[in-house]
Parts: sequence; structure tokens; C-alpha cells
Amino acid sequence: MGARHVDELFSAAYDDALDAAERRRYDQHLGDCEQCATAAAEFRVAMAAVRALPAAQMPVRVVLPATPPVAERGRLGRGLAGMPALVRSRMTPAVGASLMGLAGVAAVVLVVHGHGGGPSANATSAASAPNAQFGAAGGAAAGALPAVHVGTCPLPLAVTTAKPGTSGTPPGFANRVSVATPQRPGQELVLATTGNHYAPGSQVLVYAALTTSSGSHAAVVPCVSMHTLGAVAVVPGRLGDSPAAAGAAAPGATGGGVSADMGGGSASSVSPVTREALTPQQAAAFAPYAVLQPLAVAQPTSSASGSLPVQVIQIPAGVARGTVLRLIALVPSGLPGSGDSPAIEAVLTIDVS
Amino acid sequence: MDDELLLEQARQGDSAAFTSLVERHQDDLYTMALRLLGTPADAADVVQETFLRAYMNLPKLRGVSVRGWLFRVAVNACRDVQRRSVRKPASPLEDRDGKVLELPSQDAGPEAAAEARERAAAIRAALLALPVDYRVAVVLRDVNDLSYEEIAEVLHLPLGTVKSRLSRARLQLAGHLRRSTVLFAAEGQG
Repeated sequence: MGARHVDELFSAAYDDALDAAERRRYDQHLGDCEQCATAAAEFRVAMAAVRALPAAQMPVRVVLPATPPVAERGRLGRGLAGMPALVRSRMTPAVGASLMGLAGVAAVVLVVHGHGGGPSANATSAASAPNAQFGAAGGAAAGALPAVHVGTCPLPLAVTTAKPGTSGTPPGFANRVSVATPQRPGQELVLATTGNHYAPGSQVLVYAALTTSSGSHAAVVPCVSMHTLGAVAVVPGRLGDSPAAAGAAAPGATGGGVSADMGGGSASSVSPVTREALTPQQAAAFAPYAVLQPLAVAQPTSSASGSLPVQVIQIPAGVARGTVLRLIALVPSGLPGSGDSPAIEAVLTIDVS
Repeated sequence: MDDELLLEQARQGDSAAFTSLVERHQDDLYTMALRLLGTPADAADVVQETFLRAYMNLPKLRGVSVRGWLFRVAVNACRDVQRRSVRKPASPLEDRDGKVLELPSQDAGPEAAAEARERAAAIRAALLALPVDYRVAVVLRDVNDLSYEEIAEVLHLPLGTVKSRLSRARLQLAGHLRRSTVLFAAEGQG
């Protein structure tokens, strides 16, 4: 039996990377030491098994910016010309004009997205008058906000249930936009902040929810992320862990933590939608945001806010005063529930001052 | 066409060249991330992020190995995911989506297929049980088949460190698997 065991040589021997002296010592020792010979054989079996694991395939299409590959984009003055037509068309004329008029302006986008969503041709970006009537996720909304991870967003598109009779944006969210579309009867997408002007580095409280005035008292709570123009903002992500996991993550959940049926009366539950489930067409719905660069992502507020669909997003300290930030809330088609409801989006601007 | 040529074309503004790079490397990067993280969705996020960063950094990517650069970014992205991942520890049991993509051939019959699945699950679990640095080393070497030199480049480590880390990592992995009756019972029957 050799003097020293040679297990520290197994790895290099397996790769045939022993030098001549090591090889001699290894071979000689294995000839003498049954223990090492057995261990070396097991080592080889284990390594072969690891190497035999099948390769996996990227399950979704990689989304790339629509603009030509140029580094350090992100300055809107330069990036706007390269923006895809769809994004440009989504800008209200006023927003577009004001953005173009400002050199070096950045954009902040809060993107609400979720289940699938085809190319959102029906997306609206109209700011309507505040509308207090919507029946769910109001100030006293009860129920869980199952945290569901979407793409790079830590807070998640989620569905919450609300107590009947509660309605309205919580007090204090004065900078507010609500959007409705005839194709989503009884539904309203509300995006609101507590102010219009924020200092660099400050936190913005964002209320965002797609709510319904019909009977089921459910709201879709968006994933929120902050972006500048220049790179991909949000890519379609998985929307869910298992319902059980989501429920477990929200202890206090009343019944139906992830259930929602905004249009009908039945309590059908929204199956978690995975990124893998998106068709290329659905994934393409997010492509227009490919020119937007993440600035920050929102964090769900602590328990202080209870189950309100309120999130916090921090304006990075480095953002210049005068920068106009753009918040977009987007709910892709087919969410919540099922059916062919079109995508819907809301746009809200704030500025850094 | 080699990576570097495609990279140069992408730098000139040729999106199709960049797409070719994506298609060439996405599965390798995804497999690596999946073995490191254990969750398909996180792994897909990592791949997406990696290519985005590559895209945004195209003008800076000169004189580098594209593959090495992509692996480096992806490994770091995986570490970021793990750091933030307070939601839940990686668990091979949740690797369900990955399993769907990795079903072994059914040719050998359902029992053999079930056994192969069980064995693959045991190996994935053993990988995930390794400390992160060890896991990275083993995955790069034995899953993605990178050379010692490539691993040194990806991890910014001296070659000697790569060898010794890989050695310790593989020994630990083999130790885990030795206790796995799935692997060695199956071998014994064969």
C-alpha cells in the first residue's frame, strides 16, 4: 500500500491532466490500495453520471432591444429615433413632444404585465379624469397579495381579492390616471402616485391595480419596474409559483389568494402563468419595451400597507433634476381570468425636481 | 463563422449577427444556469439578462472570448439571483419544468426511463448541495465542458486555483453521489 492516498489526484486524473510524476504515483498507488482504487472507480462513475445529464434548452425566446446594438444608449435624445414604431405610437403626442424637447431626458416606466398578451394593438394610453368607482382593491382591501415573480421584477403581477364595497384609490394618491376600454367592461386600470415631483433618490409610492366594478372584487396587482430608454425594460416572465407556494408566502391569505374572476361570477382560479407558457407572439407584446433600460424596480411595501396594491419604487440618486420619468402600467391581453380581453395600459409621468 | 466575427458584425449594427450569437450560446448558458440555480424560470432570466448585457456592452467587447465573456456574466447573474433568492432555497423538487425538457429517451422502456429520471434528480440534488463556488466549478467543467483555462478566464482565477477547487468540488460531489443508492444501485445492476 502506498504512503499517501491519492484522492486529490482523482480530478486531474479524470481529465487526464496529471503530469508524468503524478501519473506514476497515481497508477502505482491505485495498484496497491484497494480503498483508493474503489474510490477512484466510484469517482469516475459519479463524474460520468454528472456529464450524462442531458442538456437543457432555453425555453423562451431571448428578447433583445429593437434598436441597433450601441452601447451607452439611454439618452432619450439619441434613442428616440431608434425606438420602434409601436412605442412611438404609444406615446401620447404631448408626452412624445415633451420628451423630444428635452435632451438627456430619462424615462421611468412602471410596467404592469402578466398573462400572455398578444401584441397589444388595443392598448390605450389615455389619461382620463379620475374615476372613483371601481369595486375592488380599495382602501380596505382584504386578502392576499401572493408575491409572484415576473421577469426581473421582484413584485409581481398578482391577483388579490377585496372586500365587497371597498373602492377607490387610497387617500393621498392624487397624481392619478385611470384607463378603461370597452373591450374590458367594468374594468379599470388605475395608476397613481402621491405627487408629481420627486427629488433624486426619493421613494415613490405607487398604487397600481386593474380593478373591476363587477361582483368578484378582484384586482390585478402589477409588477413595477423603473426604466430609462436604451435597453430592455421588461421581458415576459413567469407569473407564478404554484398557488400553494403563493398562498404560503402570504400567511393571512383569506380564501382565494390567487383566484380571480373579474368578469364572471364563478370563483375560477388563475393558474400560475409561466414564462415558458408564453407564445412568441405573446412574448412579442413586450418587445416594444426593449428600448427601455431598467432604472430600478419596485419593492412591495411592508405590512404597514396591508394588502393594498401599493409598491415603492426608488428614483436613483443619480437621476438629474428636470428629468421626466414615465410610468407605464400594462396588463397584457387575457388577464385576468381567461378570454380575449385586450391589453390595456396606463401612462403616468412624474418629474425629478 | 466564428464568434468573434459575429461579434464584430454585431458591433457594426448587424442585429442578425447578434441573434446568431444568441442562438449559438443560449442553450449552453441556460443549462449552466439551470444546474446552478435549479429553477428553470430563474435560469431563463439569467440567460436573458446575460444577452442584454452583452448587447449593451457590444462596443466594449473587443478582444475577448465571446463564450468566456457570456459565461462570466451568466455566472455572476446566477450569483445575484442566489443572493436575492430569499423566496425559497433552490430545490431540485421544483425543477419540474426543467425535467419536462430533459426527459430521457423512452426507447428503453418506462422503467428504465423512470430510473434515469430518478438518477438525474439525484445528480441535480447533489449538485445543488455543493457550496456555490464548488458548484460553479463543477458545472462549468462537467456540465458545460469548459477547459481549465476557460474556467480560469470565466472566474478570473489562477489556473492552479481552478484545478484545486474543481478537485475538492468533485470529491465532495462524488461523496454525495456515493451515498445515493440510485446511482450506484443502478450501476450494480448494470
